[in-house]
Amino acid sequence: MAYGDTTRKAEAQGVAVASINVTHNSSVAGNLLVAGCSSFSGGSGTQDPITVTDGGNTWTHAGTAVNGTGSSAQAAGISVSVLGTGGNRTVNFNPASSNTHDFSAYTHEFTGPHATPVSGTAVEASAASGSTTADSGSFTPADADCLYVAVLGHTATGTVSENQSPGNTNWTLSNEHESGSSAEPGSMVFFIHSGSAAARRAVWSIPSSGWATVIAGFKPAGAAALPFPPLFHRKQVPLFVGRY
Amino acid sequence: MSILGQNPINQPTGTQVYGPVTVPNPFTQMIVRIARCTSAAPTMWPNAATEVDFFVEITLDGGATWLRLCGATSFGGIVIGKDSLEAPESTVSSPIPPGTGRRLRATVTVANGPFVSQITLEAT
Repeated sequence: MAYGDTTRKAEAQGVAVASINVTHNSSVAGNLLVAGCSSFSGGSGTQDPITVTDGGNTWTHAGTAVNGTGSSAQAAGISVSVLGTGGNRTVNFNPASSNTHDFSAYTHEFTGPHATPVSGTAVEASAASGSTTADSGSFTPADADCLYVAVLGHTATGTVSENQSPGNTNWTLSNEHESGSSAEPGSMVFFIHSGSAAARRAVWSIPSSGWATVIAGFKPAGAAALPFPPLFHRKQVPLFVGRY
Repeated sequence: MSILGQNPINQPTGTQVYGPVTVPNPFTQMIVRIARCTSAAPTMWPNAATEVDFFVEITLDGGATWLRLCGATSFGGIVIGKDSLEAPESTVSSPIPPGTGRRLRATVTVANGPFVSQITLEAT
């Protein structure tokens, strides 16, 4: 069963707050809710890992990229939930500390997830400052027909452009924020793949700044176990040899 | 465009609802701004232990039902922003669903109050 994009999504941006939440409406139980977040821990020290909750469903953290400490501390993360409970979900993004952060928070809902959807190991990348290209690096999931999601967080106001070479140029944009000098810019993109597991890469052009990216994959319902090699080769032989 | 400005507020520990206010029809985005403590405004939200949890809701049916949009939690005192300067405000923003006759309200819950600040709800 392949993933499907419900087109239901939500977004919010926060400045100088300890945590943020965004409400994703009309979700359907059984679907995959993806939560992407970019955050900046302004001058407070090491960037916090962020826990995603919604007061009812189980969330799995797929990956977080963290760049630096102090005034350039930037992070991007992805968490997912196969919704046991649908409806209007208030998705909370909670750092480990009460330090002040700037956030961009995104949600996007898809049909057709496997019960344990995370496939492979997320790839995390970052650069400290002065970059005009954010590159997730290449990621290959462990399964066929995966949903790929990539999240970017960076620190400067200005145009963010997805689908840049040498990355794949057929990502679908879920949401983005471009204001940054007193807010948190970032972007979340996705791609629904059909076929055997393949490498993908997300590259953005950004204003000169530090950045962090994470790319992860999620297998669909009915994903088969990895094929085992044949134990032996059988040579075809006739079933019957008549003798006259 | 500011559609709700509470200037100043002095909210004790507990929950207060601000609004509702009407959103002009063409507007698609909202932002809540809460003034923070700075060296220039030391009486605004000075206590780092004063926790403020705020969220915004919208009604598309004249108040019969309310849909939550977004929210945040923050603490008082002076904090340094991304630009290495004292952050003058805490904000949360999100798109507003389309419609006519829309109204917004902000709910603010204070712990370890009182909470002395300014709250502005803007739509663009």
